[in-house]
Formats: sequence, C-alpha cells, structure tokens
Amino acid sequence: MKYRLILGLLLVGIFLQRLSAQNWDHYTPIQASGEIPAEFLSLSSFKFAREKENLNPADHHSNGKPQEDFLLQSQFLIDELLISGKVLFNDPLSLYLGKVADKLLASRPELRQELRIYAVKSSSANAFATNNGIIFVNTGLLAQLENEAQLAYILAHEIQHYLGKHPLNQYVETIRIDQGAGMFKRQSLDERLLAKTNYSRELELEADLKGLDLYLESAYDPAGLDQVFDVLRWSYLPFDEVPFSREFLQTEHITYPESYFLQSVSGINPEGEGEEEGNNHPSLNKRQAAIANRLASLPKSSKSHNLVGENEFKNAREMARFELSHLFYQQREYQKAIYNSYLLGRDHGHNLYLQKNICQSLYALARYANARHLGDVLQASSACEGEIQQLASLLEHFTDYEMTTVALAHTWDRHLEFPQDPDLDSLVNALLLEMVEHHGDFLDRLYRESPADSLPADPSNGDPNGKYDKLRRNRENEKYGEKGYIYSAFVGMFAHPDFRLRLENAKASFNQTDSTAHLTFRERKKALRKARKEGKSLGTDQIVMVQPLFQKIDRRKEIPVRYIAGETGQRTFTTMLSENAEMVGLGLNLLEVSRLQTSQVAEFNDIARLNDWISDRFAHDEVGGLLPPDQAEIDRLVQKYGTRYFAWTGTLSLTEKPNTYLGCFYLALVYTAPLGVYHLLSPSRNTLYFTLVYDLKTGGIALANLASIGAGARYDLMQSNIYDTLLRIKQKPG
Amino acid sequence: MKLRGIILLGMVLLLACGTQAQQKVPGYRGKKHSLFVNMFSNISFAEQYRTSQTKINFNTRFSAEYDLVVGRPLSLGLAFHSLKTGSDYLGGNPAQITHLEILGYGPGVYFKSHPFFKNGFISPLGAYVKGELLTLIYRARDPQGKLDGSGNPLMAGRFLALVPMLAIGNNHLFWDRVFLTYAFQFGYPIPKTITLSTDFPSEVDDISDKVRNRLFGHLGMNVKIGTGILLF
Repeated sequence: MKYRLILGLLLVGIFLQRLSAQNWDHYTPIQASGEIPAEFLSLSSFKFAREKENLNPADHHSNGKPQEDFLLQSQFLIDELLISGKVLFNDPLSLYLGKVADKLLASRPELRQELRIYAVKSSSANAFATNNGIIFVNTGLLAQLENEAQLAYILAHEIQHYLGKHPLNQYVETIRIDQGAGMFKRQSLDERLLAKTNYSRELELEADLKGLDLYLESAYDPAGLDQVFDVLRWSYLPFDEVPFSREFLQTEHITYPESYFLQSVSGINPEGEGEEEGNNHPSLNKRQAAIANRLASLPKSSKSHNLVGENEFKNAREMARFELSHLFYQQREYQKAIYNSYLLGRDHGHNLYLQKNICQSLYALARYANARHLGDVLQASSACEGEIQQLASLLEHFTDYEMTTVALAHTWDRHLEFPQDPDLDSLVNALLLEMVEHHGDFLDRLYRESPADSLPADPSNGDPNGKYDKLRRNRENEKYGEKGYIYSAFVGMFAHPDFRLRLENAKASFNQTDSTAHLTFRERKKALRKARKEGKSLGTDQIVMVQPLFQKIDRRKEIPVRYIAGETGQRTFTTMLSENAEMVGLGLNLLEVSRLQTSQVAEFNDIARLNDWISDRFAHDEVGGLLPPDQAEIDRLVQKYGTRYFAWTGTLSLTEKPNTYLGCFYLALVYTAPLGVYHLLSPSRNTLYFTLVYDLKTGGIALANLASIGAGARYDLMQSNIYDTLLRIKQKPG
Repeated sequence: MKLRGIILLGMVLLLACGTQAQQKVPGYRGKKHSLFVNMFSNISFAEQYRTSQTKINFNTRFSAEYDLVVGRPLSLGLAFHSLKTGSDYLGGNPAQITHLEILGYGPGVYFKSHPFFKNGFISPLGAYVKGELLTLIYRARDPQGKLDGSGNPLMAGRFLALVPMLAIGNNHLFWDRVFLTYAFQFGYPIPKTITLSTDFPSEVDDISDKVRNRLFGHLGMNVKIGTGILLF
C-alpha cells in the first residue's frame, strides 16, 4: 500500500511536471488563461473616478488639473493596452514574473498585494509601471536577460517608479515646464527641453538607487547586478550573437554565390544604440556607474541569483524568445524573425514552430519583393550590426524571382518534413501561385531546362542535354552571371509528382480567377478598391463583430480625445448594433472585452487573435494581404462562431473650430445668412463610420461600408447607417 | 387642363414604380413612408411698387408632402402646395388698381436625391437635393372683392403655372419618429397666358407682368422649414 502511494505520488509529480513544462517541439504561442482579472473588464471611467478620489488633497490644490488630466489619459491608455490582447495573465510568463516579485517582496507582503504584474507580448526590451500599481514586462526584455536576479532588479526599479508616483509627477512637471510656471517662466524652449530631460533622468536614477535598496532587502544576490545595464544597452540586438551559417537557407539544389555574403561583419557599437537619445533611460553609463559604486561598497554575500529557480528562469526566457520570432514576423521585421528562429533552432533542431516562422517570413519577403515594396520591410545590411548582417546581405542580393524561388524551395522542403501541417501546405500553394503570377515565364524556362532525370518522360520536352539546349543554357548563364545558380533550384521539386500537380493547379487557378492579370499592380489595387466600394450585399444570417470602436475627438480641447464621452458613446454604439441586428433578423455575436464574464478567457483570447489577424491584414496593404500565419486557428474560430464573416466596425467623431470660410461664404449670399451665422458660431463636425466585413476563409473583404459624414455622430444618422450595413450583410446579393 | 391630367398621371405612375423598387432599401431602420408639413418663406427686398424701397417683406407658402423611400439615395414624393401673395403699389392714378392678390394651390411631384449617401446620408436622412415639378393653379384678384362692369370679381381667373423647383436641404430625425427639415429652394414659374378681367383693359399686360413677377418673386428663392413624421 505504501509503495502504491509513493508510486502514485511519483506519477502525479511526473504528470504535473510534464503539464507545466513547455513542449518545444509543438510550441504554441502563449495565451492568457484562467479567470480574466476584474481590472480588464471594468469601465475606465469608473476606475478613473476611483483614482481621482485617491489624489492627495494637498497636492490637488496646486496641481489638480494636470493630475486629473494625467489620470484620465493614463487610465484609458492602460485599459486600451489591457484589452488589446497583448497583455497576458495567468500565463506561464506572468505567473513566473509574479513568483519573482513574491521573492523580491517577501519582506513586504502589503506592497506585493498592491501590485499586479503582467507580461506583454512586445519585442521591445522594456518594462514600465503605472500609477495604479500595474507593472508590465515585455517579452522582448525577458528574452534578453541573463538571470533571474536581473529580472528582480528590473521589477524593483519599476516598483520604485510606482511608489514614487513617477509617471504622475513627470507628467505634472512636464506640464509645468511647458506652461512656463515658476522658475521656467523666463527659460527658452531649449532650456525647457533640457529641464524635462533632466527631470526624467533624475527619476530614473532615483528608481535605480531606491530600486537597489528594495532589491537588497530581498534574498537576491547583488553581485554583478550592474550588468543589467549591458542588457539594456544592447537590447536592440538579437538575444545572441552567433555566426550565420551560409548553408542555413540552402537546399540540395541551391548554393548561393560567395559574393552574396560579406567577408566579415561589422562590429557592435560599444555604446549601444542611441545611448544619449533615449528619453526614459538616458545615460546608461552614468546609471551603471552609480549602481556599480553602490555595489562596490557592499560586502560579499552568499545569496543566490536564482530564488525561483534557474530552470524556471531559462524556461520563461526561452518562451519569451520563441514569442519573439512571431512578434518580429508581426512587426514585419522578417530578417530578425528569421535570425531569431535560426538562433533558437540551434537548440531545438527542426522545430515546426520555428520552421514555420522562417517559411512565413520568406513568403512575406517574396510577396513584398514581387510587389516592388521589399525596401519597406528589409533592413539594409549596412544598417545592421553583428552577425545578422550576413543574413541581411544574403536577402538584399535576391531579386524578386530569386526571393520567391528561395522561399518556395525552402518551404517545400519543410513541407516534405512536416507533411501534415496545413499552414506549410497553404504556404507552398500560395508561393506557387505567386511564382506563376509574377514569374510564369521564368518558371516555364526552369521547367524546360531541368535535367531529364528529374522530369517525367514527356516527349514535348525534347532532349534537355542536347547541343542547342546546352548552348542556350550557357548563354543564359552568361547573361545572368551569378544568378545562374537559381536555375537548378527547381530540379528536386519538379521531380516530385505532388509538386507538379500543385503547379498545374496554381496555373489553372491563376488563369481562371484572375481576370485582372493583364493589369499592373497599381491598376489591380484600384480595381479591388472599386469592387470593395460597390459591394452591395452579402447574404449571411450570422456575423461576429469584434471590439466595436467609438471615439470622440475634439481638436479645440487641450486633451483632444474625449475619453469619457467616447466610452459612453461606445456603449450606445454597441446597443445600436444589437438592436438593429435584431430588427434586421441578423444573428450578431458581439465580441467585446467589456461584455465578457471573468470566466470567458477563451473569448478574450479569440478577440486577441482576431485583433492580431486584422492588424496583420492592414499591415500588408501594399501587397494585398498575406496568408495568416496560423490558418488552422482561424478555421477554429470560424467553426466556433458558426460563420466565416467577421466584422470590424467603428465610429470616429471629430470636432474642430468653426469653419469661418464657409460661414462667410453663406453670409455673403444674403439668403443663406442664417446658415452663415450657424457655421461661424458652431464647431465643424465630421464623423467617420466604417464597417469592414472580412471572410476569414479567404482573408478578403466581403463587404465594406465607409462613410465620412459631414456632421457629428448624430443618433439618427448612426442608426440609419448601422441598420443599412446590417441589412446589406443580411440581404442576399442580386 | 389636359396637361394637368398628364402630369398627375405621371406622378401616380412614378410613385407606383417607386413602390415596386423600394423592396430592398433600408429607409430609416426599415421605415420608408413619411409625411411632412412645411413652411416656405421668401424675403422680398424693395418690392417694385411699395412705398418704401427698403422694406423687407416676408411671404409664406405651405406644403404637405408624402415621401416614399425608393432607394438608398432616393425618395419620391407627392406634395400639395398652397400660397398666398400679393403686390401693393401706390402712387400714380388713384383710379388704378392698387392691390393685387394671388392665391394658388396645386400638386407637385418630386424626387429627393441624397447624393452623399456614400457619406452616410441615407434616404430619408441627411443632406439632399430635391427636384420638384409643381403644377400651380392660381387666381389673381383684387383683394377688396371689387367687381368689374360685368359683375365678375375684378381680375378673377384660374390659371395654371408649371413650376420646376430645385432645393438643397437636410433632414434630421428625433426620437426615431419626428423630422425636422430645412432647405433652400429655387423655383422658376412658367405661367400660361394670363387673361384678366379689368375695368382698365389697357393695363392687362401690365398686370400680367406684375403677376408673373410676383410669382417669380415668391417662388424664385425660398427658405423652407418643416416638420414631419416617419410613419412605417
């Protein structure tokens, strides 16, 4: 019985360990889990009112207005971030950050109670604290850290920002300087700018030193802590510096010319990037020196750098690094995405997640190259530092057809390696279509000139090793010089029956569907835009609307965004959507964070996923959109919500100063004088109302309704437009 | 009167077609039928025959409209106008006619286009351009009820004028039901030959001109303000 119990406990232990450990081979992007914290769901105006009550009455007398302005803006901006889906909760990273904070504040439990710590999906190496006790730590920072102690110190630094009310004080001081209050009255603009920078530096230094005091109260070892500033200094570089293997993007049939690579890469700037230019963390050298001085005066301790555990730190850091690959891809930093995945691939072999990331990045580069927009997304090798320069050099040598060919060849190989993966499968098809569309002639020539043993017996091919074919090939090689290497790229692929079948399908698909093939890229974009405008109706009974937007901006005010009015308007707007959908008889599923229950974390993640999806669509407008990086996840959403149509809708109301020109014009036309007076006295108002319905299966716009209304967000006009949109969604075409 | 019949028939046909066409248009949350009551006002500066050349004279006209939404940017409607205007002229021979009163009424048919429907002004709301054809039946008479030598009212007569009108305006809706509408309207009355009975036959042409001028003055440029109700 005793042994059974021990065996049982062992099994449970192993199970729990497996549960908590990340399966790197099947890595999936981190998501929020558990219950949604209440602060994600409550109204910003309510939180603002509560924060306002907590203002210090003594301070309120002199700085009341700036303080309230700060609280208002920061509260709404923080909430915008909270509901964006970028902020994670109850996920492995946030939980780990919480554990480190527990250790750091073990002696100050009441302070720990006040804090909420969240990981943020962002590639920038940064952490920041808010006035109300939230600390955000970016995955970009976590990915760069060397040990747990550094993370603890960063948390201590941010906690001091919170305790010192630095965000609020900095805002108030900036306003004072800008307004020329007190001693700033007679100062020039340059002096004021300097004063603002100095104040910011003072706060940073204060947070550093007081943060160190807080850190020293904990059981973390302070030895070598000043090295955290090195992490910040070079955080713009990849998380590691490893020579880029020239074989990395080569395939069996592609060997790049030597000239595509640099003889040597340039060194790293010893002072880091923009050392003195940063506003928030200026003069790292001085700060590092100040901390080093303090540390030098401390006796040696026997404390540890890892209180939560080295493995847990490395696990969290590795996750953050995995996330970086995807984040770089999302931010269109494809070189960084490839290099990041390359670095991770050294430890994780042919990891599907990383391989997909590389293929997607190559696919994106190919699309941009073919649309003649590669310069928008490719950083020149001369602008890079370190080993990533080699990759940049290789990519910048590629012409559009080389880029497409390399992307296709690499993705095809990965598809053969992971044949079950639907995303790689779709990528191969998309790249083939890209090849057929933009380089059809080139592809045909390659097909014609492939060695005979790689092709099926086809009498029409003739003898590719015949005298004239060889001469022709020699002429081509002379003509294309070093580009000749690309002619062998398809040898292996053409030999594969599945590839040939896909190629034929791509050709058929291109010939059938693209009636605008003869048009230039610009003309095609125009035609697409026209088609979007003319979209009459859709004919669906069910639709999902994601996070409707309502914003009021009044340019006459000091703070143009009317946050509270906007929040009220948002609720009215969503009510209008629901009411009108009912009137039209359309099944409307409103996905909005403020309407969720704490238990609906799945829906919260769905909103985050859909936000990413739509951002991705807008990010690649120049190339007409890219394939989503995880179509399987999108298919799951389609199935879950019972519709392929997802809409993004919103209203932006803009108020400006009265239009005096128009007013005077009406006044001059005697009969319209009353209208002239009206225009002279009342502000100019415009409202932008939009609804974009996307078909998630195809990624295209199924219906678009965009109205720029020359009036305020009038209730009747809003109702009218919403009803019209929903009716068009519901009505069958024709 | 044959022309009037043709115009009326045209109006009915137009509306009938409109009814057929409006199945798939949104209206205002599904409601497409409205009734309006409007008041028009025009300002007559320096009326030719007034004693004071600087006096501003406001005239009014009323109309009732039935409005039917037939397309996202289009409404068709029937209107009924009534007007009363006049002309005073003093001086000269006291035996001459010193007052002229014009009374008119008549149906009109109109279309209201919302050319900015892509800017969110979907019929029946928002900015519109309205084209209307009014068949005005009017009488010009002496307001004192004087009779001519044959015992008929002085200048009595019923005449027809076709008035094409163009308006630009805006419709607001409150509480999902009540319209507030305002517009600027421009009309060009085309009166048929005017024959008047008068004790002074030599003045017929003069009076005819005055009637024409007066109609033009009244219908030429107007400011409209009205209210309405969205029915179903």
